[in-house]
Amino acid sequence: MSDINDSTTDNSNQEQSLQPQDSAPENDPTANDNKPAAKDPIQLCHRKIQAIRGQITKAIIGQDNVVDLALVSLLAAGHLLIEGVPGLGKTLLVKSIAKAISGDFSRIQFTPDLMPSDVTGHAFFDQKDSSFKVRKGPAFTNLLLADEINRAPAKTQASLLEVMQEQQITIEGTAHTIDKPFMVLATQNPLEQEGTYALPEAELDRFLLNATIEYPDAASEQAIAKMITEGHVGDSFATEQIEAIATVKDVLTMQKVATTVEVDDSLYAYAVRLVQASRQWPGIRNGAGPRATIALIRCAKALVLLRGGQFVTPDDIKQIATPVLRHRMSLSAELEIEGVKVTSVIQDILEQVEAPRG
Amino acid sequence: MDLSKISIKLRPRNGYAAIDLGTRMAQRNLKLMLISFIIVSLPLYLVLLFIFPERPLLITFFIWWLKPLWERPLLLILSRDVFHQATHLKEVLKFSLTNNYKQWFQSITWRRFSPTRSFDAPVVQLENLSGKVRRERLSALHSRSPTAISGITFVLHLVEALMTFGVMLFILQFIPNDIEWILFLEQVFTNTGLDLFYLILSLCWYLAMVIVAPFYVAGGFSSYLNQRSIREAWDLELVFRQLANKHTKKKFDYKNLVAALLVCIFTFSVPQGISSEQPANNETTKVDAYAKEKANSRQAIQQIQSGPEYKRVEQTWEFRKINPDKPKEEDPEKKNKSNSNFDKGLAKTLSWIFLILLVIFLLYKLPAIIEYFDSGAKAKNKNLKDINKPEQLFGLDLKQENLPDDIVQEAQALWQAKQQREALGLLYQASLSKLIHDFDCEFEDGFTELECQTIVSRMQLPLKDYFAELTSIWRLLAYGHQLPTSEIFLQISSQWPEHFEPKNDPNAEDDSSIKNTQQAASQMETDNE
Repeated sequence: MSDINDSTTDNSNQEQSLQPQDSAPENDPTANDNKPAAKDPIQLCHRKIQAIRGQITKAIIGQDNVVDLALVSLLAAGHLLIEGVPGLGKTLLVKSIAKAISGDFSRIQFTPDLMPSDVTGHAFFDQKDSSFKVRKGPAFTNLLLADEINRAPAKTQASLLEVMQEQQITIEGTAHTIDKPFMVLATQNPLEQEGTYALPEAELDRFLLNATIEYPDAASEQAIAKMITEGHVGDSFATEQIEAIATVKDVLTMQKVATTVEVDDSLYAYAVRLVQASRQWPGIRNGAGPRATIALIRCAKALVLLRGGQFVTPDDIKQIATPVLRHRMSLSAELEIEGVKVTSVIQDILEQVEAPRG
Repeated sequence: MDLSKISIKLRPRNGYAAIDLGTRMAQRNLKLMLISFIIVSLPLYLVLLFIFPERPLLITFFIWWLKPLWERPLLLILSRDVFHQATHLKEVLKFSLTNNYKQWFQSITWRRFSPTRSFDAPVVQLENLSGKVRRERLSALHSRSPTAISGITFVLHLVEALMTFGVMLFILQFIPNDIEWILFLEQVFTNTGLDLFYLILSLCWYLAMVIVAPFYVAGGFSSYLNQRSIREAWDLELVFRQLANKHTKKKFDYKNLVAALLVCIFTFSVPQGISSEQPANNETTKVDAYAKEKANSRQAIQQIQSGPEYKRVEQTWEFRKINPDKPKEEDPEKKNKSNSNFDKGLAKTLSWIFLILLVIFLLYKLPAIIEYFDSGAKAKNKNLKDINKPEQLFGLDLKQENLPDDIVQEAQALWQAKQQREALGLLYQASLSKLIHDFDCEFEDGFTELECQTIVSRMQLPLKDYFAELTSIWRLLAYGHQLPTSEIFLQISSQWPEHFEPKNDPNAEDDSSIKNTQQAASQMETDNE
């Protein structure tokens, strides 16, 4: 868990935690200033999402930050790109979310020979009925895990563009709507670059957030080992322990409630300033586009709902800025050669762009 | 001065060749010259740095200004080296303490910016000339073109500047931005009143000065030697002296002496008859032989001159000014002299213009300089910190002088005027301003309210709880659009002076504060009704 001062004085690339209790400073009488009344829809949704979170963290230990970003992405009706080495529980995360919200789940392992129709589905001629029928692909689901998305060529990656943006799939000229909520959780390995196809900017921009999943700390890893090996066969967590405590309808409601979270005009201006700074900052080849501004506000609202607040503050925007902007910015060759990371540039932007004062 | 002991080869050189010679002389004595310069100048530099740590650049400028004094030991070393005399550091120190102050005032005032300073220095230091005699001497030495020495002055100043910034950039390039010990060093320097950047610049400047000075002094000295060698024909004098020495040696050669004595004895001992005839015959024979040899020589010369080497015809062309009215040939020596006079005049005029401009500038800046030196040690800590304090942050004007005199009264008036956001905003803005200027809180432009609050909490300021409450109320209003009640505002505003304003007269202030609060409360109650 980070504290705010660390984030301002230390340029480390650690993502800030999204947890509410640690974001306020010590002796903070404002800790409750953002708390709603008990019957407030935001408060009800907050309780529900915290319950879902509780179920997920039964399975995912030591990855609170990624869990929170996945839930923010779910609440903001966006998609999440997770970067991390294999074996850190990405599939388990998606399975757990799907189980907790009683949703459908599909997993596609992206490979170089994967075809677009393998993702979206295709039409075939049924000789029995003498008619064309549509065989729906794995994309027709609530939660889609696109594992190692950068291993498939561009045309297969592009097959996800329509479903991610429009939430529909066109097969043989007919648009098929996807059941909501729909969320893509794509993964890519940051270390292995051989035989991969870098995601184009258009596709990257469609991911609301970019989370990095790190190795768990020693205590968490010990807890994982104990949990998996005691009374279980095999090396994977049994998702049966996760209770389905919400429905997809609840998720849709929570998404709607998230949109009602109050945002002051100064915060819209702040989000724009940040995104514009990402375009004008020295050493940046490509900055973030207007989708990033929208994403900042959407994610900040979802974050407030996750925390149980009532209105967005500049701190919410700052805390979500790194995962929102990271995959939308690319560094110039000079900075890359010097080993500068995008996250450190974002930290500089956050420190130097004028924060609002109401 | 014994020219026979001179270690350089005396011959007429042009200005730049003389400077080349100076460079070689400087290279030969470089180590000693560098150490000497450092020994005489570094103590003063360090003492001044200790007394005025906040102005390292000004100190280096001062050291630079006194450079003519630091250069004198270098000239001593060179002048002795020219005559094969070694100089020891002890002698340099002794010289610096005793003989280093001849005409010092002139050297660091109106002669300081002379472009031929290093050329003129030996006249004062080595010849001990002053006043009219010095002027006449310099006038004589400057009669040939002093352009080279002026040029080298300019070039070495440029080298000094380039070296200063080059070394500084070289050092800075190797300092990573986010290394903690650098930040720590900066913090240490800031606390002691030193600015790390200016200190590095100052040290680099000093270093460049140390390195360039030997070459500058040696260039001037070698030019001076060259001028004297030309004007006083040292080379010829040396040759004559050598010839004279040779002649003197021959005179006392015992073999010759013995031979001469034998000839004399032989001459006087031969019979008179022989002695009267013999000379006439010899004389005639010698004259004939000489005439014959002369005729042969002439013939040989004529033969050589009639050869193809002397019959070659060359065509050359050049531009000439056509002036039929004044077809006079200009005397090249006169032309050189007039050019030299022109250069000298121009250099002198430019020096005077520069000096006058400098004096005007210093007079213009005099109040600021006096103020600076008056502030002294007090400024060392406080003013430096104030310089680094931002006047604008988060889009807010945080200059204390731009805030109302009575913050609370103004805020309460705004509240009564139904401008609640402005009222609370003023309290919060004034709090930030006070925190920055009076409590030395360091905020960045990108800090949010909670981040500022965290810094205040970490600093363990007595007002941290109050500021946290104010921040909470402000955030609720600013982002949650939730207006605090009048009571809460009244309470928070009336407590503001206790935490942020100095208590010069606590009783009076408390009374007025209570009075204001009571008035405001009754007014607000009326408004609410």
